[in-house]
Amino acid sequence: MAAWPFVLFSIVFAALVCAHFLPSYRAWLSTCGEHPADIDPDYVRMEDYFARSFRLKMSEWRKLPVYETLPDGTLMIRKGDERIRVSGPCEYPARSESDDILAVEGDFRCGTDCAFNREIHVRGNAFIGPGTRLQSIAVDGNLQLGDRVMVTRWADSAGEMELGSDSVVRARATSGALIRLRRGAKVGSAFAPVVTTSTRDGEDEVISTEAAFDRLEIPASDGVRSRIDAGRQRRIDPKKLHRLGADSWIYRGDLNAAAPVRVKTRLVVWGDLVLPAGSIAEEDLKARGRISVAQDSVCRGSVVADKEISFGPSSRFQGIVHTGRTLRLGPGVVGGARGRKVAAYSAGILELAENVTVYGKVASGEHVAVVTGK
Amino acid sequence: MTYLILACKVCLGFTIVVLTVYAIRHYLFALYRISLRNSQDMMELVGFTTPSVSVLVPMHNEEKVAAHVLQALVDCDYDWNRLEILAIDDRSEDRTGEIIDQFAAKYPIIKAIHRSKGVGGKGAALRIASAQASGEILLLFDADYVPGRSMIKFLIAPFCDPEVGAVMGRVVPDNGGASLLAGLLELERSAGYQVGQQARFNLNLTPQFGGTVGGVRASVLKAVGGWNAESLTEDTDLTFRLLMQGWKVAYVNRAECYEEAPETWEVRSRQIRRWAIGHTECFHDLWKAWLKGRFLSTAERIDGLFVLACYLTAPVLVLGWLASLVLFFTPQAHSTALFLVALPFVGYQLFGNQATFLELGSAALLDCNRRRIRLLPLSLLNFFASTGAICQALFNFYFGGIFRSGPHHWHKTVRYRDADGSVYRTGENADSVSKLLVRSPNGLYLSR
Repeated sequence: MAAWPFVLFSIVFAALVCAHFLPSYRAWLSTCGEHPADIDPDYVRMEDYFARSFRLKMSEWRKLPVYETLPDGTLMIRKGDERIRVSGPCEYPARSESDDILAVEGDFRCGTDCAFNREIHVRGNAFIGPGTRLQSIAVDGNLQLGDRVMVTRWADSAGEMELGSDSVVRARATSGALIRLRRGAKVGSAFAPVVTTSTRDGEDEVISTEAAFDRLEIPASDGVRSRIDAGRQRRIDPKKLHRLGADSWIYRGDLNAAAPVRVKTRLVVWGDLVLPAGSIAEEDLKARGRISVAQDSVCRGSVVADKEISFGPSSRFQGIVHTGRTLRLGPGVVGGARGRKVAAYSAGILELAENVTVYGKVASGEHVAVVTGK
Repeated sequence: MTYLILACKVCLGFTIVVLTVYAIRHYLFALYRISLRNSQDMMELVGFTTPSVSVLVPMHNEEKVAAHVLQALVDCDYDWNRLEILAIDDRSEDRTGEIIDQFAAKYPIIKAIHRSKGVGGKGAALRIASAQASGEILLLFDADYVPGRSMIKFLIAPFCDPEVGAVMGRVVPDNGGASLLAGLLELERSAGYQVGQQARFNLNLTPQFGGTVGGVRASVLKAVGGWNAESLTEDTDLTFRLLMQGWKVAYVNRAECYEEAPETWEVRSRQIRRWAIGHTECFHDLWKAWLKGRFLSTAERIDGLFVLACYLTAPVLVLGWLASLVLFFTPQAHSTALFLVALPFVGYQLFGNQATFLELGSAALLDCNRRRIRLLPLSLLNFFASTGAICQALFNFYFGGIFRSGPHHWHKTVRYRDADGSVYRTGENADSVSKLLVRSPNGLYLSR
């Protein structure tokens, strides 16, 4: 039998194998000496990073040469293919449109249904007319977004920010003072010393809810016992309660006490957790199911759930709230306190009812929405 | 002869089943990760919780890198009133102790711990340091790591979940361009963290605490008995003891930290031999208790066994090759259909070095490293080298009369960084906004 077919086969096979590795070898040569990933070790996480970065860039762009001065004193600066318009206080009439980056040295106003397709920096206060569409805006004073305004990226104000009814900030809204959200407003996240859906100026008085309730303690302080609610046949089963650590307990199953409870320790519930009205959780709570915190309850630690979390009317949380699904903050809910910021995050939708105040941040994987009437 | 052939068939069949199962597992991880669902993301909560933190940095002859890691930790954006850094000099014979003392004299948040006797090894050093730590959370960094300024805040964010007992960040080789091996290891790490760890965390399986760029609750560490000074892989040992007792390990993909990957095959071989022995020791110590773990779900038990036994797949594969060779030279009829079904699964696993091409490629895409995807075929070299090293290690482990390796000494990876004392920074990628920040007296970065 002639050997040449085998030799030919071997050559072809070897060539195919080499062809398989040749692009890899060339890729190795081209990437030799490179950093595979760029990590900035100097990066400091800031909630208003985009706004800071934009203001920094604007301060540098303002130093670029002016190529044209308009009759009204507006300076035109060119940056590559983009134009920067530097003006004093200005007012745009209804249905105005601009593709320039705007730098306003004073107050900025615009009428209804305008469209600003680039960033805006305002040294003074800004009043955005209803139906207007913005890309992003940084205001050194107060910012008022009218009804149905759409900000496709971020909005920042050093002063107070108000989002009108059905207005939207798709990414981040940040303020150095206060963010007020009207009915139907939506944001990706909002961060400020105070984030509120209250329509009244001034802070709502926080009424203490630690009234004298006959609360069931978890874990019980006088040894393991069960307590049966004679009327509803619900109980906390001590057999399901296991010590996880020195300061943590696990409850295996749904925990739905009929009476107010005082949870004195970190508690992990392998199911749904319902805290009846007037309950107090002194430490962190976690549920693998849902968490429902009824009205006038207080959660002093963090509240974490794999599924939905809801806070009933006038309840309070003083730590972090995190859920893998929807988070609902009912009417009058207060999160955090002055000087003690908290964060509430949902991977799904975060719904804010009326008169909700969060000192810190509300954020969502989808959006934060003001939902009234529920 | 008949029995030999039967044994070979059983062996080959077992190999195909094991590798197929692993391949499917990694395939599912990659698919899940690509779908980008991450309901457990806690990055939006960074900075809203400030427990007291003790950072432990064990060192043994680390004069080349000691200054870098300590300076990087001092530069972290965390309240100094709630931070302490414990730098442990474990019987170093170079200037490590001197460098630590210099930093401790300059920065009050750094405490120097010098060990000159006692059981050797990282686990023992951590035991000593943990006893002296006052923080609620203990964070660990190996000496050759350079944490970013927000690293501490990133790592402690998941501890707002009371079920989380430990947290793990992401390790990124910085010297991926230094050699072919380092480049391949960079791909491997990327797959392991960006896809493997993240998928396991999202699926509530068993993400692993890696002993560096991570942390553990001090109370939890105490509850599970502390660091195992006898183990070569005290991080794996701790992970599984935590999980068995009902705690969870959280993975933070955004907490990225540079490390130095081995640049030579010899160094890599030593590293992976240590991992293989350590993992296998853990497997033998813990598998029974793991299967009985009353706080574990069925999925966790299964995935945990996969993790513990992952290094055993190398000798299983080699035995399968040998069995197939024997069968090849014997005149036996084989099931063509079974062969055709099994071959692509085995082949897929074969070239992936315990991670499929899909997982490696997915990780590279998620990292926006499209050019490095073309390096995938070269991972075959890493695979064969690793398989050989693992088999050698496990042979010594099982047949070398060392079932329990006993107290260990330091097993370190060679350091490649120059010891010029300068802080290690990428420089060209420094964010301009960060430069506007000033350091307050309590260590936090504030705007000017």
